[in-house]
Amino acid sequence: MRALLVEDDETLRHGLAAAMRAAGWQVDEAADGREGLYFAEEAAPDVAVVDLGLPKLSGMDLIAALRTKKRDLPVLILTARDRWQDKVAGLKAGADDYMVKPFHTEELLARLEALVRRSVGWAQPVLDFGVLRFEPAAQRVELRGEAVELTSFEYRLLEYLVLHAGQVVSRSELIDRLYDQDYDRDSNTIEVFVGRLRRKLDPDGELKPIETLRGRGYRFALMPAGRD
Amino acid sequence: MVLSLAVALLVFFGATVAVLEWSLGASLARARDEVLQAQLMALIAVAEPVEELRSLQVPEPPDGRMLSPDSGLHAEIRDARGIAVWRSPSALGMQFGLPPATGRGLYDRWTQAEANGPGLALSSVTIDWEFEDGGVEQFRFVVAQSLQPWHDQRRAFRLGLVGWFGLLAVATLAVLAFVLRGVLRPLGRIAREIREMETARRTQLSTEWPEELGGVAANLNALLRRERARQQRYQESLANLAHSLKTPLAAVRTLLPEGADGAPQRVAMIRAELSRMDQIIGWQLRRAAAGAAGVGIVPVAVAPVARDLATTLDKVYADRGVACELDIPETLHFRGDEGDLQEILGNLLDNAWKYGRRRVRCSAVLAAGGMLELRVDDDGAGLDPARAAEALARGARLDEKQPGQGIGLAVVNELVGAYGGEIAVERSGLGGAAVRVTLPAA
Repeated sequence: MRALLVEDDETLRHGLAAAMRAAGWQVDEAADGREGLYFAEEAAPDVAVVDLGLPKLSGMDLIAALRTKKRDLPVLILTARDRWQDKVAGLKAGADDYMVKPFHTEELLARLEALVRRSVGWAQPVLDFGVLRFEPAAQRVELRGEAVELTSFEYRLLEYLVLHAGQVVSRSELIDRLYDQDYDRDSNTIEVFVGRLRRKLDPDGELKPIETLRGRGYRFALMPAGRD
Repeated sequence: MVLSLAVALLVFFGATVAVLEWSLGASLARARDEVLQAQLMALIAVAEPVEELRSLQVPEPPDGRMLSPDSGLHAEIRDARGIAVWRSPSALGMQFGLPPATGRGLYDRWTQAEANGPGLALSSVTIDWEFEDGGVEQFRFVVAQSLQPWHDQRRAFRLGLVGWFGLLAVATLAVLAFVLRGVLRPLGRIAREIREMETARRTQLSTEWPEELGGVAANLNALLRRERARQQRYQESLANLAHSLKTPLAAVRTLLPEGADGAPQRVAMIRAELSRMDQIIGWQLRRAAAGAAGVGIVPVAVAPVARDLATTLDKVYADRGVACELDIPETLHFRGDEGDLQEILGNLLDNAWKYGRRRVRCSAVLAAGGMLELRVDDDGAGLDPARAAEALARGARLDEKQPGQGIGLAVVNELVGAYGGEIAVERSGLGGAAVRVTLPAA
């Protein structure tokens, strides 16, 4: 997943970005509102974390600008004042959630996961595909009731595919979301990881959860339980 | 105001009438005495001596009225022994009571009551009459006139005086009342507008005023504008202060290793201290910001505030799937600062969303005594009375609180108290807690 972090306090921004990267996020850092708007348009992040008190373009104006341009990525605002007036104003301006400084980093990460999950249409915190169950908040995957051991990168790859279940996800989209910008795009690492995931999730080759569409990308093919 | 003026005016006019009446009475009396004196001199001029009797006679009285009995003008001449030597025909059957004469050539004046009449005014003078044989006799000439004409004059004058002055007083009062009404009406309007500002129906005074009040109104409005600008600056300063205090706190926290287990004890302690600092800053800033509205507040519709908060909480707690019912009349208004209402309702609803299971209800009604009653219900586990009292504890020292314990209810309690309202925690019909607060209505 790709996140945009707009915060003018350098220590907080670096610390937060480091924590997000450790949790598997690709993070674009912006120190002011204008830079934030630039990244939001150019890097197409899945979620944005925006401080309200920003130089050049305030957080509120940044969100308003995004919404005017029909960018509907979920936005979480960071605010120093925990007056409801500010929270209501932020959410009315188009934000989806808020956190009051100082916050717990784990909680922020959990909220970001939930925002992304909801933004792609999953209302429930648990993604249930019958034999396979995903809990993004806990980064947990279960196959027939048994936890599946995945590396951090494997999990992030699977999560992205699962969140976009039924949709074709191109290889370059995955690279954008999962790697730093200077990644060598010609390497075949994605194929290697998809192969590993198939072995872990479908050791007998009966389930076929991840389809390869030649020249177009991959698709998570299982249907959610309770959906036709 | 008009009444006291009327009383003052009546007293003033009454005194004027009394003084005028008295001075006119005095001058009428003087005029009457002069007339009597002239009659006396005329009488002396026409008196003729009767040499053989050493007496006096008046064959032809100086004034025709002395001849007829009911004319009211009478005359008499007495000798030194006090015996009348001549009486005017009009004085037939009358008795004049004469005080002792003061001296020769001096005029005496007095009045005398009558059995059936208004009384008499009398004047006399004593002179020495020298007869042809050189003998001298003393005679006292007396003239009496009925007081009737004088009374009539006075009455006529008094009637005229009272009548005209009364008319004048009424006219003056009418003019005064008219002028005063013109002067007082804008004063009444300014008082009404100030009252409206106090009850939040108006933000500043209107502009159309008579010259005398225009300055006052403009100054008041300027004062209000300055005060509002000051409040806004104050709120902005608080926001900046919050930002510049809390961002470093957040930065420090992100720098600490995450995860409660495995972290050294020192990290846990630093984290606990950070939480405390954060809570203290939050508490003090909230208190500083609360109720800062003061004069010139506008009534705040309760329903839209509740709707906005419900929408916000729906978004924030999207995973909880809480259904919220709002039952608030659109006409219900809160008299106070909109931010404070948001703070009160926000904390109550946030608690309901947090502790409720699937249902939250927020209702409000107009209560007695110009108050409105807000009620937030949830279907959670409820709040037992001991815990409720603890959560409400106003001004409780934050460092005595357990970490992670919310200050939402204490903030609500503080705000409600500042507005003179009351708060109560009850058992809800939905199964959980119900918090009821009263606030001033507009």
